[in-house]
Formats: sequence, structure tokens, C-alpha cells
Amino acid sequence: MSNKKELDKATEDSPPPIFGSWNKIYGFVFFTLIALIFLFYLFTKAFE
Amino acid sequence: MSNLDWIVMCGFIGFVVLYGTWKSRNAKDVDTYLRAGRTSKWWLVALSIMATQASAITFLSTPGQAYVDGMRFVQFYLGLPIAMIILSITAVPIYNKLNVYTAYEYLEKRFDLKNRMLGSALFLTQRGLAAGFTIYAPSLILSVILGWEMSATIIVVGTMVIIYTTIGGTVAVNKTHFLQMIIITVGMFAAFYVLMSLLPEDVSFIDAAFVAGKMGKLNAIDFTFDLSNRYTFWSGIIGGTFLMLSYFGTDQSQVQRYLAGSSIKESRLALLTNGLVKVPMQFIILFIGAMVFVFFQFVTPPLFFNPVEEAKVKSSSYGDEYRLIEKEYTEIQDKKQTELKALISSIDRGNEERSRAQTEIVIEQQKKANELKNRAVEVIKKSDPNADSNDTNYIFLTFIINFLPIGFVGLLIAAILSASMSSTSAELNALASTTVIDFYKRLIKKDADDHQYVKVSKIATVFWGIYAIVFALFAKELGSLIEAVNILGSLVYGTILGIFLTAFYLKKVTGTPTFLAAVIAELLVLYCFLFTEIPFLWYNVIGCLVVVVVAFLLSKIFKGSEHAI
Repeated sequence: MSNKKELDKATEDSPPPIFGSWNKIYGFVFFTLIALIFLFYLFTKAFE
Repeated sequence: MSNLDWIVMCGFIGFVVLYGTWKSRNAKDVDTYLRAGRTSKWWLVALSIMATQASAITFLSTPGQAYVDGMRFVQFYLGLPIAMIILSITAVPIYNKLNVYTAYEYLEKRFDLKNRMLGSALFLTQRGLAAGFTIYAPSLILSVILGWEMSATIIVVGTMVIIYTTIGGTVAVNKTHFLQMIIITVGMFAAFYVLMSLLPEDVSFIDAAFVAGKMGKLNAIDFTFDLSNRYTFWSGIIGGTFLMLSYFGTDQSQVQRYLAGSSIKESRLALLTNGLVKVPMQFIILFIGAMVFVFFQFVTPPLFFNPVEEAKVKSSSYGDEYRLIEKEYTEIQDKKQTELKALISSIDRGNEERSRAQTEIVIEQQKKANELKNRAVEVIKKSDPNADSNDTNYIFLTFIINFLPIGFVGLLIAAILSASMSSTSAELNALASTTVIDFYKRLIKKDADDHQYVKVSKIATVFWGIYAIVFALFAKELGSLIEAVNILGSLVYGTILGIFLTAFYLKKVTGTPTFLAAVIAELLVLYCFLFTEIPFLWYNVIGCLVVVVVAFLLSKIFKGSEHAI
């Protein structure tokens, strides 16, 4: 990338398109994992 | 395979190769060739990350794993979303702001040349061998089940990957990954749909899930803390996080994918999408394996899924003994089918007491079937001590070939080949980048023009492609080495991750302490591998922690002799 403007764009730390902040997105991914683990646990128990 | 299957398979694969080559034909400068010009959108990068990780052997083995061992393998991926969050916070902004082409370039900016060389050399050693294995493993399975000539499969698949990866570089890899992921996903859902339609009419989806669950195949979560148990919640969440951090944060085949993102935002969104999608995706693939198990409760499966080994033992002096076991196995399967229908009927009627009793009968019969299978494996080993006694990788493909309708078989084989090609292309692309950026450009020719670097990158891609093909062709002769290749990743990933975590978080630690700590950690990991029974996932934790702690302690000794960058 030779163009400085493009390099600035690539390194610019802009906010995410949803949830307003990156911390909220990280929280969303983390709680989705917790929810999945809980659902997998219920799934394991339900068909045991 | 029927003619229609051949048309479907060749159509899909041919289209992917031509599309990738055509769309990337203008990759003339080194930035476009190695980082797709940093213009890719998050969804394309996310698909490319997933396609790189989904190798054919994963695609073939995972359902077989669920068939044999249940769904507990899903826990292996529990650390992945956590790793994606950590990398989005740390690695992505650092790599982007430093404008690096490879992850190891960062190590020189942060430490010194020797750490960069160590990181890139460990990567080239491990990934170079793994690239050969990525082509070899599916070719072996396809040759056994379909009777394809293995050398021809290896050379054809390897050459196609070399062509489009060499012509288009990262652009071609990303563009083909997009199509390959579509084929893989459509193939898996098609397999699931057909599988459900093939179950007996009186067995509903819920009935099938209950049968799988009662027979211990839906064991997705296990909270017991047991170091000797390879897949538990704890090994997945702790060991898995370290492994995924290392793989996605320091392995160039993955780093190169998100370096192609057009901004920090796009790279982060791609990693986080992978964090959201990967665990459910593995769950679905494993669930398909559990359903294949249920299917084979109502249709008697082969006693041993590898037809070549089975044919060999049958034609040997142990043939009669094997056939006797096979006869007993068929009888047990027939009896089990009757008892299973009774179990389903009691579940449907809500009769818990009867259901419990029937479950015990079925489990008892399953144990007998497993014992017979173990006896059959012993006979196979007696007949040929070098025989492959693990048939897990052949289960799903046996189901595809024998039970899927015409057309679907071609689609599924295209999906398997796509998975093989997607991983291999990313590996060749990453090996070429590391060779050119970390060795050629850094040590041999610092001031060449773009045209020269692209030319050398293409030569490096062809070199690593031929290296992978040659390794794959001779892999059969190197039995024990293949086993070593499988475990090699975990032998080096922890150490590499430790170097990177030290670089990210211990700002006062300099190059020499880190380098010495990495050497000590690598020796300790090798000791664990050679002299202990510790499961391989924990090597990542050990190697990483030793680097971080020892580097920190040594930095106190080296204090004043170097300056942190």
C-alpha cells in the first residue's frame, strides 16, 4: 500500500458497526460462548 | 462414482480454480500479492479464516470422531471465542499499525533479528511438513474408499492449488476460500438432510437424538477435571484458548488472512465472526456424526470401515477367524435393531421405567458389538502388524459413498477436496510470504523492486507446493513421521505464543532473555512429549507460560544490557 491515505484508513481504530463499542462486542461474543456452553450442557443432560 | 457425480465434482472444483485464477490475475505488486492490498471486507476475511482451519481431514474425521467417541470433541473449540477476543484487542491493532506482512516481522520490530528468525524458522519447519500432510491425508482416504490412485490424487490436487495460489497469491486464496466455504457448508447441510430422510420412517428426529444420547454419543460437555482425559471443558477452555491464541495469533497461515482486512475494524469483525460461528459449526458437524451412528444402528455397518485392511485380512490365513467375528457382529446388530425399536416405542409412550430397562439392554448389546470390533482389530493386527487399526476417518466417507443419492456424492467429494485445497493454498501462501519477507527480503535482497519480490514469492509458492507434494507422495513410507507431524503443532505453538505474549504484554523484557526463555521452554515441552503422559493440548500452556515467566526472570539479570523498544 503506497498511498498514505489508504494506510491511515487501514490503521484507523474506528468503532464497530453495531453495539457502539468494541467492549460491548467482546462481551457479546463472550456471553454467546457462555450461553452455548450452558445449552450444550442442557443438551447433554436432556438426551443422556 | 456415477458420471453425474464426476460432472458435479469436476464442475465445482474446476469452477473454483478458474474463478480464483481469473479474479486474481492482476496481482502485480507485492502488497496485493501477499496481503490482497489490504482491501478485503470482514466477511471475506472471516470465510477465509474458517476455510483455512477447515482441512479435509477435519471434515472427514470430525463426524467419525462423534461416531466413535461422541460429541465431546466440541470442547476442543471452547477456547476459540476467547482467543478471538484477546487477539482482536492485542494482535490486530499492533500488526495493522506496524504495517507488517508477516507475524514474525513484528518480533524484530519489538525484540531483535534472532527472535524473528526463531519464530519464522519454527513456523516454516512445522507448517512445511503440515502442508504435505494436508494433501496426503485426504488422498489416502479417497484412494482407500474410492479406489483412486493416491499419487494421481496428490499430484492433481496439489498442482491445482499451486496454479491458482502462484498466479493470484492472497487474492486468489481469499476468493477461492469464499467459494470453497459455500461448497463445504452446502455439502454438510445436504448430508444432514439426506441422513435424516434415510432414517426408518417410524424414527423421528427426536427419537434419533434420544437413541444417540442414550448410547453416549451426545456427551457435548464434561466438567470433570482429569488431566488424562483429552477432551473436557477444562482442557478445552484452558488448553484450547492457548492453542487457538497461538494458531490464530502467530501462525502466518492465519495471520495472513486477517492482515488482508482493509482496516482494524474489518480484521476484528472477521476474527469475532469466527469466534461466534466456529463452535456451533463444529457442533453441527459432530451432530451429523452422531446421526450417522444412529443410522448405522438400523443399517448394519461394516465390521471395519477401512475396506483395504478388511480385504487384506479376509484374504490372509486369518480370514476365517475374521469372518466368524463378522457373523457374530451381524447377529448382534440385528438383535440390537429390534431392541432399539422397542426403546423408541417406550420413549414415545413416555414409559420411563421400560425405557430405562431397554436402554440397559441396548447398551449391553453395544458393548458386545464393541468387543467384537476390538477382536476384529486384533485379528487385523495379527494378520499385518503394520495395518492401520483406526478406521475413524473412513466412517463418514463410507456413508457418503454407499448411501447418498447420485449427485450428492459428487457434491460431498467436491466439499472434501475444497477443504483440502483451501487449507493447502493458505499454507503455501503463508510459507511463501515468510520465505520472501523474513528471509529473502531481510537477509538476501533488501532493496529489490516490487516486481522482483512478486517473482520470488511465486517461485517460493511453487517450491513449497512441490515440497508438499513430494512429502505427501513419500508420506506412506514415513509412518512414524506422520504421527510426529500431527503433534508437531503443539510442540512449537506454546513457545511461539510465549514469545508473542511477552512481546505484547511485558514491555520491559528485551530480546535476549526472550530468546533464551524460548529455547528453555522448547526443551521442556520436548521433555514432556518424550518422558511424560501429559495430553498434547497442555504443551501449549506449558510452553507459553515457561517463556513468559523465564523471560521475565531473565530480564532482571539482563537488565541494563539491552533496551526495550
